[in-house]
Amino acid sequence: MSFNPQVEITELPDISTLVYQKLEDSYLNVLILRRIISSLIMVAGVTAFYFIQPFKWHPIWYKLPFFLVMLYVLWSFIKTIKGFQYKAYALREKDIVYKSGWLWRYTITTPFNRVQHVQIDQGPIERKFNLSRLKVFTAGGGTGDLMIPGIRPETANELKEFIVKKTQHGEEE
Amino acid sequence: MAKKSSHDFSQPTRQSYVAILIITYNLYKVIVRNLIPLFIAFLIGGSAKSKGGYIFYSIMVIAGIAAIYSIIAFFKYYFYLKEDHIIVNKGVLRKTKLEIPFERIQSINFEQNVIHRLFGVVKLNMDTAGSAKEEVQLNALNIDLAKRLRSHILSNRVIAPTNESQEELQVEEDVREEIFRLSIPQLIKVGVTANHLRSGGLIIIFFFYIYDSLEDFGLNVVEKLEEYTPVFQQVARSLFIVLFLVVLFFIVSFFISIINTILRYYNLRMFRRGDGFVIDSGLFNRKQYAAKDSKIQMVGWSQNLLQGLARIYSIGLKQASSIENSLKSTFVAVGLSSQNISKIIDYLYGIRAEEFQSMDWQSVDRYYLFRRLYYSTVAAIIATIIIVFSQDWMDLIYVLVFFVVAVMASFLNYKKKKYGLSEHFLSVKGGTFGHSVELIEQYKIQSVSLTSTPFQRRRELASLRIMTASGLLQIPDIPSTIALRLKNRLIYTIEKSQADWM
Repeated sequence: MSFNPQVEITELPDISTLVYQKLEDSYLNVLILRRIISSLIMVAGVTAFYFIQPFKWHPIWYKLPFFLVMLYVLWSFIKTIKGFQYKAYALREKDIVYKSGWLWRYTITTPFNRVQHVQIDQGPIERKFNLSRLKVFTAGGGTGDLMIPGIRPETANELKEFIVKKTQHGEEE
Repeated sequence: MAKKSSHDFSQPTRQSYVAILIITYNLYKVIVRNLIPLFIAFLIGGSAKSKGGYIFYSIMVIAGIAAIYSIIAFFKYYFYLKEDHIIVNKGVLRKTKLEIPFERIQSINFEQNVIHRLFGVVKLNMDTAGSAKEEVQLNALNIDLAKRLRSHILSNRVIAPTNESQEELQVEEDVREEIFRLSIPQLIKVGVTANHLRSGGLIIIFFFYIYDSLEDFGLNVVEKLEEYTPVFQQVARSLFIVLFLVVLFFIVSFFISIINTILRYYNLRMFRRGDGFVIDSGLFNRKQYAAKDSKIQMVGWSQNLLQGLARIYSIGLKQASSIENSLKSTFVAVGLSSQNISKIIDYLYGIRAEEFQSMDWQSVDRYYLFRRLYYSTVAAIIATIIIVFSQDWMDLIYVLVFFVVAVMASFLNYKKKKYGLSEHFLSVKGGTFGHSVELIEQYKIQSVSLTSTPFQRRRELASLRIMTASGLLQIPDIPSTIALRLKNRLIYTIEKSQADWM
C-alpha cells in the first residue's frame, strides 16, 4: 500500500521498536490503594441499598446489584494489576510517547513542537509514596493531553526541563 | 492608514449609548425566560387573580433594578489599546481588568439584532485562544468605529510585518471578493433539506424544559399524566394514531427547520478578504464572522440524504478552540455547490488543493461493519426477549423497523468510511445516509494516538485517533501495520515542519 512517494516510509522513525521506560514499582501501590478506596465506597453504597431497600422490589433485585458490584470490583483489581505492567513511556529526540492498557491498548505520541505547557502534579496518595505525574498539554484538547504517572519527582522535573528546553529550541530555529 | 484613525483608541473609549438599551434588553430577556415557568405555575395553580397586584409590583421593581444596573454597567465599561494589547475595564460590583495581547485574538466577529440595525451599531465579539473568561464582548459600537478597531487589531497582530504583508493588510480593509451568495430559492432548498430530526429534537427538549420547570414549581406532572395513562395505552396500541402522531411531528419539525433556516441564513454571503474569509447572514439578527486562513485548522463539508438529492453542501471552517467555546469557533456556510467548495479549498490551500483531487482513498477493515451489525443484532435480540416476556407482540414491528434501518445504516456507513493521505493532507470521509469529508493539513495535527481492543488485535487491526486544535479525527479499524506506519508518517511530518500551526 503506497502512501506517499516522497518519503520512504521504512526510513521513518518507528515507534514499535522503542525501548520503553517502566513506571516506578511503588506506583502499583498507589493504584491499588485508589482501587481499594473507590471499591469501599461502591460496596458501602450497594450494601446500604441492600439493607434500606428503598423501593417495593422483589428481594432478588436487591441482591443483583450487590453481585454485579462485587464482580466489577474483582475485575477492576485484576485490570489494575495487569494494566500496570503495560504502562510505560519513552522519550525521543523530538517527541514523547506514553502507552497503557492491558486489553484496551493505547499509545499516544506528542511532538515537542506542539507542546503548549508542561505541568507536574502530586496527589495526597502519590505524596506518601514520593511519586509525581507529568502532564504534557497540547492544543489538541482533553483527549490529546499526555500524562505520565508514577515517576519520581526528580525524574518528572528532569523530563519537564528536557521538554521545555526542546520546545524553546524548536521556536528558535 | 493614519488618516483613517481619526479616533484615538489609546484613549479610554466607551461603547455607543445604544449599549444601555441592549444590556437592558438582554437582562429583560434573561429575566422573562426565567419567569415563564413561574407564570405557567401561577396560571395552572389558579392563584394569579388573588396575587395579581403583588406580581405586577414585583415585576416593576425587578425591571427598574435591571435598568439601573444596565446604566451602571455601561458607564463602568470602557476599553483602550496600549501597544499590542487591548485593555478592558468593567464590572458593576466587582471590577475586572482584562488585558489581551492582539496575537491571542483569533477572530473579531460582528453581530446585529434589530436594535443594532435601527441605530447603526454592531455587537463585537473577540474570540481568544484562551479560556472563555477572556472573551471580549462589546455590546454596541458604531459600525465604522468597530471596523476600524478590527482592522487596527488584526493588522497589528503580526509582530514583525514585512512590507509585503503590510500592503496586503491595507488592501484587506476594503477589498473583498464575493465567493458565494445564498439566493432565496437556494435558501428554501436549504430549509427543506435541513435536518428535520434535529428540529424535532428541539420540540422534545422544549417539552422536557416545560416539564422540568413545572416540577420545580411544585406541580406534579407525572401524577396529572397518570390520570391519562389509559388513553396513552390506547394510543400506543393503535398503529394508525402512532403513524398520525409521527406525521404530525414531522410536519411541525419541518416548519421549525424552515423558519430556523430563514432566520439564520437569510442573505448569507461569503467573502474572501485578504488572507481570510468573512461570512454574514441572518434575517433579524445579522451575524458576521471572520476567520484568518492561519487560524483555520480543519475544513469539513457534508450533506445529508436530502441535501445529496439537492446537490448542496454545508461547509465548516474549523478554527482552533478552547474547550469552553468549541462550538462558537466553527465558521459555517450552507447551500453551497461542489464548485463553491472547491473554490473555498483553492483559496485556502492554493496550489496544494490539487492534491485532494488525486488522493489515494483507502477503506477501513470489514470488522468496522461487523462490529456495527453485531451491536444492532444484540440490541434487537434483547428487545425481542423483553417483548416475549411482556407479550406485547405489536412492538415487534418497531424492533423489526429498527433492525432493518440499523443494518442498512451499518452497510452505508462502512461503504462511505474512507481515509486518504497525500503529501500535505490527511482526509477522512464518512456519513451514513449523507456524506461528510474532513480535510486537514498534516502539520496542523497536535498529537496522534493508536488504540486497539482485544477483538481488533485478534484481526491485527488498530484505530488511529488524530488530535487537532479543533477536534478529533478518527480512522477506525485499519490493519495495525498500516496504522503504525501512518502514525509514524504523521508524527514525522509534524516534527519536520517549521511552519506555525496557528
